[in-house]
Amino acid sequence: MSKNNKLLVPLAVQDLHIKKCFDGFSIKWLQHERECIWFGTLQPILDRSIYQVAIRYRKGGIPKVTIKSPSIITSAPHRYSDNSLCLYQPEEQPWYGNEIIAHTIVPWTASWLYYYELWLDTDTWYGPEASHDTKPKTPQVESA
Amino acid sequence: MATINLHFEKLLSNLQPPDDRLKAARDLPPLIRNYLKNCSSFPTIEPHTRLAGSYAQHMPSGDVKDVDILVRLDGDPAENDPLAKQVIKDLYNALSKLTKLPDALGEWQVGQVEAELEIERARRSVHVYFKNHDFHLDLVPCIAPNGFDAPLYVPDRGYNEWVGSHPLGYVALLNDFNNQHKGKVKKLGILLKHFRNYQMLQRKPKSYWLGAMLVEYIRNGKLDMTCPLPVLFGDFLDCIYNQFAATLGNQDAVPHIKDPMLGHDVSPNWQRTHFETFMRRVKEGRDWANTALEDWEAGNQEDAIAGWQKIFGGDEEGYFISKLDDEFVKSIVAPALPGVSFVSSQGQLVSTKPTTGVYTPVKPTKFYGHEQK
Repeated sequence: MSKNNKLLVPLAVQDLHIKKCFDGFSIKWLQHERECIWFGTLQPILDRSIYQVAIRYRKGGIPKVTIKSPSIITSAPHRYSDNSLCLYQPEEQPWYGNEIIAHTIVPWTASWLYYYELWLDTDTWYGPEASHDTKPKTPQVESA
Repeated sequence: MATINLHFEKLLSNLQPPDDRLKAARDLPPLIRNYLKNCSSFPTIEPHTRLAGSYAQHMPSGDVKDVDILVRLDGDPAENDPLAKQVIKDLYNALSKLTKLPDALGEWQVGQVEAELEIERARRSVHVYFKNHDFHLDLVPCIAPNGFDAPLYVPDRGYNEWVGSHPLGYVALLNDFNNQHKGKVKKLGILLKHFRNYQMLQRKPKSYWLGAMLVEYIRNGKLDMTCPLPVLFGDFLDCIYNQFAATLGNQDAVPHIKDPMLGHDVSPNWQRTHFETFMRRVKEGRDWANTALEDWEAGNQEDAIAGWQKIFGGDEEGYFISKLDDEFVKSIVAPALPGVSFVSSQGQLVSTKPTTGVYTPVKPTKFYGHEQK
């Protein structure tokens, strides 16, 4: 069985993991509970900004992370055209629905924000980054 | 717009005492403790000595060359027993014998001991100067009926009496405030001490007075501790100026700074001319800080950095650096590296998993793509 054919983690189970690992996250159900958005806060560096984060996810889909506040400045790197965060390289390391959002997407979001703060200070992205060739950057495509 | 916080972190790292000072502050007090513990001519009681002052507060700023050590004696301060004046003399005599014991201070004493140590009596302490190391110890005898962590009594040689003091209570209070305000309190204390050292070669107010001001403003809610450090620094100077402006306008008056623990006046000997100099520097510093903050907000980073350099000293002195070096930035980068770091339940990144609390490992990843156009 290939990795992407493994059992998808139900949204309610994802929610349990998020609430176990991170304080102050709440869930809003959409589409008759087939889709949801988690709202929460992350403060990657003590004494710095507290970010309001939204993670939109549909079972079997790809989590989309956006920062609600404070605003991410328009020239910030590693974002898609809809301003959602590029947290991993989909071709090298695709995200599968059998993975736990609390163990992948949320920690990566905190890490992204940490490097974003440093980028603000230095104009240099110090986090690990995948090289981006001449192909246009596209998010991971959801499987049907 | 970039933030100025990293520049302040770099400034604070530049204000760390040099390694040899830290080593002296760590190694000398236990040697002195052992010496006094076994010294029959100057009986001390358990636990004999305790580090105090800026090293105990973890708030030294720059090349701090002196360490304060409390020395505990038995006695009754109300009866002036032992006599406050005599205690200083006895401690001086006991420490003078150090010069005859070449091994008492280990590696800190080499060659001709008498040529290396200089011992002097001060108002409340005995001062030992290690000439070869350019390092000072201030040994303060005390009667501590309930131990070092409670209020105690130190001698006043001039008045031949014991006076109340609570140096370790002050350390505990600073620690509490610092924890409550995410480490900003001590950083602010260090910045103010450095500001004083850099701007005032003479007529400097004592560090303890500055600390007392800081504690008072935090206690009374005059400082909004949620603000970033650069803003807080400007606000801190503003608080000082506003608090003492009326006194400045009153000819010949000097402020009386209250001890943050016991409430008595800790600045009875502040001279008017010294106070006036301090207020001039505070006013200048406040105005420069405000301009630097405005410049930064407006995106004039070069002007802002030049402003902060005027306040704290710049590239030449190695204080407020215009361009952050890669090594410093990398040391800040390390805690968040995916694959080796952990994230707390509030989202804070750490490189070592603490023993308590919920921490989730950050799995390896690579952020994707180039800057978005």
